[in-house]
Amino acid sequence: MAGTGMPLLDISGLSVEFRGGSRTARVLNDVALTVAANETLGIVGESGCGKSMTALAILRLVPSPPGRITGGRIVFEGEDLLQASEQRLRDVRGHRIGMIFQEPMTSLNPVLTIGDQLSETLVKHLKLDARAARGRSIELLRAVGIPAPERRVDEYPHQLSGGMRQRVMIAMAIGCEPQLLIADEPTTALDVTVQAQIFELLRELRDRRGMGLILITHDMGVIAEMTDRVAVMYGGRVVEEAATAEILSAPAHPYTRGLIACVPDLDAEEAPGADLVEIAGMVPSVWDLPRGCPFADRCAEAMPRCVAEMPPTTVMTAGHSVACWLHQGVPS
Amino acid sequence: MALILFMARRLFYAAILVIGVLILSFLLIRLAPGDPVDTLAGQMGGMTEEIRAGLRSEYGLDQPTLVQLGIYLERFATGNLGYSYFFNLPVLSLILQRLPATLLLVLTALVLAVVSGTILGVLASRRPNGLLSQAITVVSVIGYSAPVFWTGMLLIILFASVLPILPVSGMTAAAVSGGWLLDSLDVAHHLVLPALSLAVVYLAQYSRLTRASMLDVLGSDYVRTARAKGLEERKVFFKHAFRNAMLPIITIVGLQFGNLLAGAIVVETVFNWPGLGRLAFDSVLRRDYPTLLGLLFFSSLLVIVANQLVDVCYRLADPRIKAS
Repeated sequence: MAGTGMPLLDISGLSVEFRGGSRTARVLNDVALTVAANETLGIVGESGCGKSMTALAILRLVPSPPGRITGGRIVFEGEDLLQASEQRLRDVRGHRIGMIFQEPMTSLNPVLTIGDQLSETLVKHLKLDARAARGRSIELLRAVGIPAPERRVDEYPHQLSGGMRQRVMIAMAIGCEPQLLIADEPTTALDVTVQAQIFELLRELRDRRGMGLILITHDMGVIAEMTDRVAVMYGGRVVEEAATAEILSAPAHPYTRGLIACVPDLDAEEAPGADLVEIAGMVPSVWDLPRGCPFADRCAEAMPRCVAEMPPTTVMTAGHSVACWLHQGVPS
Repeated sequence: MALILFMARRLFYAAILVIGVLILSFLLIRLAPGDPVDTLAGQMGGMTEEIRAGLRSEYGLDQPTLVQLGIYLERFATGNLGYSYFFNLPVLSLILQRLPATLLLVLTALVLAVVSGTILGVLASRRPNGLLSQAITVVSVIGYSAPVFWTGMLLIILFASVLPILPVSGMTAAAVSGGWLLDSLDVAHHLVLPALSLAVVYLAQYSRLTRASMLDVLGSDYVRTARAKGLEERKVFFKHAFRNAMLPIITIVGLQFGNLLAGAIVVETVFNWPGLGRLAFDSVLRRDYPTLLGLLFFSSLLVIVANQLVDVCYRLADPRIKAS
């Protein structure tokens, strides 16, 4: 299902800083990613590694102050969004690029009806009149599997369950048939059965409409099931990127190996109560990133050079790149 | 339907509350030293014990306090608020005659405070560290710390001597009646300073509250969603943020309505505004019990009505609240 031709989205050198008092946090460092049409890119990593910030940066929604995009290019359909005017950007947001947020409970406005919140995107981007927008809202609700959409359209978010609200968010994000859909941990707040339904829905939408999809998650299981390619993020950097099958079978970065080892294997005949594997240590604070590799202090294979110097990103095989001194030939 | 039921229940509680207020006020007033007869005697330059006793029995003041309370409540139940000792007029007509002046003053001040307070707060929230934002913070602190009577007096000094363009006392000019339009303009002219002094404190509070509330809401997930949809900032601000930011303001306005009435007493006294506040102040000095009790009854009624209105507003603004 991998896409071909020119990428739909091509991010390079993306850096974001947060300022707090006299301190500066480098939240994203030199991030590079590409997504093709009809392709699903997974972004995986622990909390605080920069996944969500990358998603926000694509639409230039980094909270400012204190955040600021300090460099890079985000080329979408041949246009650098970092150079675009606010007005041009508003045409892209919600129209060419849809976004689904992590928190369905708080991401909908509590004092506006579902229909109102769905319609306004349609009115703005597709220039529908109120009546047509309402009709299309009902269609969209039906498309994402909400029962009795004619009734739901006039309800308020608090009258819907978490799973239903996330469906509304998805309906909102795909309302204008975007070329690219960004889903930031779309199922974190939902229970497992609902999770499966939401992923099924996203997959179906991508296949039917040929969208590019960026799926942000911390769950390797989701990555394995849903994505074509994966970018592993750590400490505000992409530390490894490859086709999903390759990442799962031959992970190169020690962090990626750790993430995969953490997935409990339900089929294995381990004794009940066997310890779950975890990566020792904690994610470094973005306010206090080390000079060298951010993973060095948690890495079992760390060398003196890892602490001293950030490894550059190297291409191992076609489509598989990694930023780790282990894969830089002989360390000096 | 649920709303009507809810209102009915609230009215029932309100009635109990009003009776409680009456009983408590009745007993509290009696705790103050002196009675109307003493005050009267003082004004007349002395009075024999016999005349005092005669007056006391005529007013029923020689009865035990609880008996007096019983008589008062009994009359109250039939809609009789008694006679003012001082004016020799039914308390009800005395109050109804002055109620419009107070309502005019309080409502003008309230609208002024809420409307300009929220506008300033919203403007300030657009640039939380901007010049306007900081100016509002400074002015708010001053406005909030300055007592109403002091603000009033400063305004009087300013407009009585330095810049005599606004009347500083009363509600109408001596020579009135130039048609209803001129009369209204005359009252409006007199209203400016009292309404302003009364509004300043609340204006300061509401602008700060609105600013804080807007900043809070602007950082919320649903505002981010609205931006991610590509909506114009204006729409994000007013459609998505402002309605949510107004909820705490509505609450505070309701809670503070009583304070506003209390402030009106001071302002009416300072500006000689012929309303209930002025009457209340004088009635305390004269120990005019029936008038005072009538005033307390009406004030509690006003506060209760205001709170009911606020509840209705809240229900209209926030769909999450249902009769429960």
